[in-house]
This record gives sequence, structure tokens and C-alpha cells, in this order.
Amino acid sequence: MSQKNLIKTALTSAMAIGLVTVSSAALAGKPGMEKCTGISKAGKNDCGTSQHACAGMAKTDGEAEEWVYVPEGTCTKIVGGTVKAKKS
Amino acid sequence: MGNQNSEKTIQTNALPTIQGCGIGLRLEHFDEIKEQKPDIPWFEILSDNYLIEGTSQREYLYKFREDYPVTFHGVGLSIGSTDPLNMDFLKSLKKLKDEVQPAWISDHLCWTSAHGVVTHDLIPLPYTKSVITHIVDRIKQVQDYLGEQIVIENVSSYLQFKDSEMKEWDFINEVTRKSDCKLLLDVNNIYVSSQNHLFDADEYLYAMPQERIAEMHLAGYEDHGTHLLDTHSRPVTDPVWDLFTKAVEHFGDVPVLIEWDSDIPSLQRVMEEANKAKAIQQKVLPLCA
Amino acid sequence: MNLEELQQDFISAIFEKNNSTAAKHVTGDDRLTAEQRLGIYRGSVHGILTSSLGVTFPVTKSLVGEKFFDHMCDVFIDKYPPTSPFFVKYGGAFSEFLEQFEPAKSISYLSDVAALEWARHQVWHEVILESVDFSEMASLTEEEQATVWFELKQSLRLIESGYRIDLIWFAHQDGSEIKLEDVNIDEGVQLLIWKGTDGIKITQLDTNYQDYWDFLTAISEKNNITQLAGKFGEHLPSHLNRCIQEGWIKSFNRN
Repeated sequence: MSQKNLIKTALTSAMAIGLVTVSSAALAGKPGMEKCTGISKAGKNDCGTSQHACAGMAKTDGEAEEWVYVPEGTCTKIVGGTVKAKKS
Repeated sequence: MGNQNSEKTIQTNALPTIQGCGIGLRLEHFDEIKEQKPDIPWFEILSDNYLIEGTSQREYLYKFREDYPVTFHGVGLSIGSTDPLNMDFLKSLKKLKDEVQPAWISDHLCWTSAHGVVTHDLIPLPYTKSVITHIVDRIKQVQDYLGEQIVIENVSSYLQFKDSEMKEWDFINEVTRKSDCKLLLDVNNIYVSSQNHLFDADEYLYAMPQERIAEMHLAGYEDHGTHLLDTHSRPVTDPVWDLFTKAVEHFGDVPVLIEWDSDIPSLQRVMEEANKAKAIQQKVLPLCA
Repeated sequence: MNLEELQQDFISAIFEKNNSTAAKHVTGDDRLTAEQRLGIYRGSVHGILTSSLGVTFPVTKSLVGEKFFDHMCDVFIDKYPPTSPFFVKYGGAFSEFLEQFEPAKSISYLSDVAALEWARHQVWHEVILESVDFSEMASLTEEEQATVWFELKQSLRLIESGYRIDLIWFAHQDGSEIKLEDVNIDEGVQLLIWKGTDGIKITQLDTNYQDYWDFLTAISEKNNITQLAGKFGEHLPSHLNRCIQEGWIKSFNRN
């Protein structure tokens, strides 16, 4: 196929799709917020977008100067995952 | 090409009337409110969370507004900052206001940003004549821009500045009078500050300008021994209910709102706090159903 | 008293441990010194921002554990304080920060996981645009058609990693069938993060959509259709068609 024909085929095919309906209406039609309805079946994150509040919070400076802290979360479950050198 | 956002208009008539005991709208309760439409006279939305146009969150607010009257409550105005007013922020706020039509817009008598850095927290001001001049000028600018009176809230504080020349309540009176703005009287904040700075909460309360009070706030704090921290993470405490009772006796039938922002319980639990406030209003003001 | 100076000192007290300059403005008493009172504000600001970062980066937080995360955030917050009143914009530098953060270096994939979470966060908050009618391209002349170029949906991110960050992310979701213990993280992935009509999606391009990474990248670089034809040859019609069908391409433009 010549490049000219190739372009023509590509555009004709795209034109045939016509109107693409990834619009606000498609999302607004969902009940509530998609993040809160569990549609993307995720955990807390899907309901939690960081929210402003006019309240204070308590946090004290740790003794973190020397960084004695060691990651002790779920990373310990990843096989060999904590000892790998950074890939370039 | 062909992807402009269409103008949004909410199908409502005049500005909503706000009365009774409302609660602050929080994400955690969205779906429940949407489905059950509980009997709550109005919701206060944290306007900073809806400022970006075209987001799903914004779309949701349009729908929510069809069911309930709302007021706006914000953090980002930074009215006490020495930085210029953030016009991008104000522009977004005005657009949101035009679309959602809140009964009023409130923010805090404090600063949240300076020198280009934003703390997202409420930092108090020194109570001086020159600061009053600075703030009054800025409130006027905001009111001119938005085309309406704004409502300013007294904040909780954990420190006082050596340069302060007057009591916080005199400062509030001067600022609201000179800028001709309204006051959001946070009863919990008065109590928290009175404990942190050892002043008489009643004296503060009774000094407030009655004719300017548009709304009252109630929330719960954390007791850290050396100080109380306004965390909005607990039920309203007894001394704050007592102060609120005095406020209702003194200022009459003012809309009141429960704020709960951290360790957020069920909607039912927040409504219980609102009902408690309602019961106090009904007891103190027998004619007010 | 100079309010500007006071605010500058206060900002320093919040984003640095040393608050002696700001303390000069503040009254202390026998319950709390001026420094301690300033410390309450430093703690509150750090608490608010750490909590926000924890919501934006929940998997990153899980991976290192709460304690480590909290301290990591303290360092990050001091180094990159927020500069916008729009809360959702905070955290864009987190992934980059983690890459350089010495105590987390043993978790080589951490920064990429944070990049994935930031992409999801951005996509979630991205403006939803109205769609375009591609049949309108029929009204273009042949010359105009030859220089047509396309725009990707704004709420779309391409992320490449040397690790299976997608599986690490999925393994942390409620009810996930993927177990972290079984993940062989040591494979590269090319991911597309995008907002579909039913939520935010993480699509692995290198297996399901061969060479779509290159195709989408070329489009994002504003290659026109003639350039695309040169690069993708006979695959062009199907690639273009599929990208439009999926809603990845939001509009066409001509010069």
C-alpha cells in the first residue's frame, strides 16, 4: 500500500468511528463518585483523594536525624525486592 | 476542536435559605447522602476541594446541589498573608460560586501561605492596628471581586505574638466592622484558644458583634495536656456545649454546623451531634421549631 | 512589627527544625515555651501534609510501613513545601525525591511505584473534556489530511519501569488475587494510566498492545499522520482506530 493510501485508509477508518463519547456526561451518569463506588475495586485510595480541612493535626518530630528507621512494610514480602540495586 | 466545557447552571431559584443545624459534607458520606437523602437542612462544602473545573468531583457537587442548599467554607484564601491575593484561586472560587450558588462563602481570619509557600494550616496573626488595616483592605478586595460580603471565622490558636496590641475579640470586632464582612463564630475555637491562652471564653463570646454573625461552628478537639488541639476528630465536648448554649441564649437563632474532619464516623453519628445542637436551640429558643 | 518578616520567620519554623528566629515573635509561658508552641504548628502542618501524601501514595506507604513513611514525609515536606493552594497538586516531586532518598535506596522500585500512584492521582483529578467527532475530518482537503495530528486525552499517562510496579500496585488492592510473595518484580513494564468510563485503568501496553507505547509516544510528540505512516506502516490504520475506540485520542488538529 502506498503511503498516501495508507493515510487514507487510516483516516477513513477513524472517521467511521465518528463521535467518541468519552465525555463528562459518561462519567456524570454514574451514581456518586466513581472513586467511592468501588467500581475500580481498589481499596481506600479510591475513595480517598486528599481533602482539605480546616483542622489541625498532631505530629511530633521523630528522632530521625540519623535515620535509624528501616522499611518494615509490605516490601519485606517481595522476594529479593529490598536488596536489589537500582536499575539505571 | 469541539472540546470546550459547556457552561454549567444549577436549576435553583434564589439563593438558598440556611437555617437550623447543618453538617460539613465529607467524601466518606457522599454515597449514603445521595442514596438516602437524610433530613439535614444544609451542608457546608470545603470549597477548596472542588475548585478544579471538569473533574468528576465537581460534577458530583452539581448533582448534590440539586438536593441540598450549601455554604462554602475555605482554607486557601490566606487573607492575612503579605503575599498578593492569589487571583487564580479567587477566579476559581468565583466560578464555583457562580455555578453552585452557595448561600455564602467563608474562610478564616488567619494566614495559610506566605512567601510563596502554602502551609495548608491556619496560622494566627498578631493583633495590631497595622494588621487590621492590611486585612481590612484584603477582605474588601475579595468582597469586591466576588461581588458579595464574605464570612470570616475566628481560628483556634496555640501561640500568641509578643507584638499583639489588643485582645483577639477586639481585633475581630474591628476587622469585621471596618471591612463590613460577616462573622462565622466558631464556638469550639473560642474554647480551645481560651484554654491555650488562659482567658475567659465568656468574655470573648459576649464581645462578638451579634449583627454580623452568619453562622456558628461546633467541633471536637484533642486534649494534649499542655494544650488543646482543634482536630475536628472528636465529639463536641461538654464545656463547648455549655458555651454554645450561652451563644444561643445571647445571639438567638443562628445557623449552626458540625465539623468532623478526621477519624470521621458514620453519617448517623455526625447527625447525632447536629441533633444535639438542635435540641439546645429548641430548649433555649422555644419559639424556634 | 513587620508582618512580612514575621511570616517569613514562621514559614522557616514550620519547614525547618530550627525555630529560634521565629520564637522571638512568640510568647512562651510555664506550660509551653515559644519554641514548643511553634512546634505545635510545625507538627500540625507536617501532620496535614503527611496524611495527604499517605492518601495519594497508599501503596508506597504500605511498602515501607507507617513509621518509615512518616519520617520520610518529614524530610520530603521540609525539602519540598507546598507552593499551591490547590491541595491536589502536592506530591508531584515525591517520586523523584524517593529516587534520591538514601534510606529508601534498598527498595529500588519504590520511586517507580510512587510515580504510578502520582499518575493515577493526576488522572483522577484531570479535567474531563467533551469529545470530538472524527467524521469531521472528511471536510479536510487531501493536503490538510496529510498533516493531521492528534492529541491524547489529557487524563492519560505513560509510565515505564524496570519493575513490575503494576503487579505491586494490584497486589495491594483489596480482594486482589495477586499475592505480593508471588510477584517476580524484576521485569520491565510499559503502562498506560487512563480514565475510562468505569474508573481509572492501568493497562500494560507491552503485552496487550504491542508497540502502542511507541505509537502513543509519537502522538504525544505531535507527529502528524504522514510521520506516523512512515514509522508504523501498515499498522497505522488499526493502531489509530483502536486508540480512538479506546478513547485515548481526544481530538484531531491540523496545522
